[in-house]
Amino acid sequence: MKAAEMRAALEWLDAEVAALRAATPAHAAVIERLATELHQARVHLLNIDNIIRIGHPALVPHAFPILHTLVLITSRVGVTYLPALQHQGPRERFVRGLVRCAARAVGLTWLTDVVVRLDGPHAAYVAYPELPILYAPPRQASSLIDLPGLYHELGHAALEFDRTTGGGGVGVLLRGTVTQHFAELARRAGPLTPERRAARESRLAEAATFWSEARLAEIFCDVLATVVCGPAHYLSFVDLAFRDGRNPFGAHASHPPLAARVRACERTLTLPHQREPVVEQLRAAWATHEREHTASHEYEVACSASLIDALVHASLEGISAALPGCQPFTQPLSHPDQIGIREASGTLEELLNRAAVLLVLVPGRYAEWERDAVARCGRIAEEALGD
Amino acid sequence: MSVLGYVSGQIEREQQQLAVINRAVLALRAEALGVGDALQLDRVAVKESRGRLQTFLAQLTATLAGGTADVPMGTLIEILTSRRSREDWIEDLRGAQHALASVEQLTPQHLGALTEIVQALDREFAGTLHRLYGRQ
Repeated sequence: MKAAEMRAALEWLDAEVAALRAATPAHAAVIERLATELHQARVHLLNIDNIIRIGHPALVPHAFPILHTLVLITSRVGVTYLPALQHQGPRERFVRGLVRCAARAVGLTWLTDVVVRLDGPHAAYVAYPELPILYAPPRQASSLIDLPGLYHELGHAALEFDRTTGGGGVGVLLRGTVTQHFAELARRAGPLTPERRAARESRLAEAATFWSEARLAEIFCDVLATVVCGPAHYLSFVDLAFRDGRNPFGAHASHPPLAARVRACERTLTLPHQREPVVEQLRAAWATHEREHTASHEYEVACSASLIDALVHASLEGISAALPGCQPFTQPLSHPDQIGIREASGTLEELLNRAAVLLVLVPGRYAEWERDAVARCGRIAEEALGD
Repeated sequence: MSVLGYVSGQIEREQQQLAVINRAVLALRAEALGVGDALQLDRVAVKESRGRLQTFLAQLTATLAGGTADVPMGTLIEILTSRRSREDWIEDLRGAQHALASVEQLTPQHLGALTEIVQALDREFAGTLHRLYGRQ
């Protein structure tokens, strides 16, 4: 039954992808990749047919993984890529241009294309890291607020590319940092009874397992976005953390606690950026927020300041190795008086940092300034797409 | 905060590993049943399958013997050890590795253990698939 359903789904998807080929020539590389996946799906279907035809019960368990692979392919093409490609208008083009520009700053030299979908919170689909889908809220087409979040999402593409093509060196660095940190803590135990030593080692081992591959990935992406966007990303992240409203020392799903992530962003900033009035103001506000909550003992062990700092260091090392073209943002921030209404020049990262200065120090000026800045972003986007 | 960035990459890696291991075990099953031709498998495919499985089983056995649920194999080991003890698995997998390294055909017990591994990998993959695309 499922094989018949898949056959029908593949026929429909073939027709849809053929229609897209004509309708969206700008995404030819993505469409070629989808067509290759659909061709591969037909080979999988043939393998299921063969297993069914032979009919031996010992072979049947091997049909299920193939069937699940078919579900993945048809879902990826039909549920993820197709709707994204079918909704490509001027707003998506604008954000796509900004993402291309951001990707260049991040050092994603291998990025072939990117599809933008403006109907949800920031997220990335990176099964094909060189052809990712970037999700952003509709407002992103006319506002710079939260735009630094897209740099974080590009980090997921960078990590996935490193895992599949670069040997996974970044993941090894991060995992090694966690292992070394907790091994060092275990060594420093001093004289203890065997029972207390065993209990301590068990607690440390549990804290080490807290750092799943997914949580380490989030820290790496936070660090990368802060390297490339500077204080603009720090502001964007602190803002996200304030909006969350929950205890910042608690972990949620596959993400590390917000307090640990805010620290990672802050420690990633260059020393001059850490002393910028914008950053000092945000740091003070965040410290006040943290004092309103209590950190659990588990948080203190799993997310100690020394471990977060070590993870920042490992991430920076990973960025140097995996993204040699990455362009860190190191410029001093503009004084509010130097930020004009007519924003005719400046890179995307400069604009994002000017936005941060105005939002924090003179918020009353932001809305008017943003209109001009978005117009400048339109030109940046077109230049990036014209490459 | 979305988990899509991580999960969308993770599922691709899970699928690729499952495909390699499933294809390899299927080839050995088909050889044992004498239906390799019907699945369009030749001797080269079977030989390659033995090599791939040896590499994978060596990693899995080392992780099981190390006593840790190491991150990339964590879920797989959790699923396997919920059915049988680590020691039983290590014994079976070492036997299978020995048979794979020689020209011996695998025993039904070895093939059974390998199929269980395929099913465990498939369960992990299906779980991630449901997380991404399951009807809520």
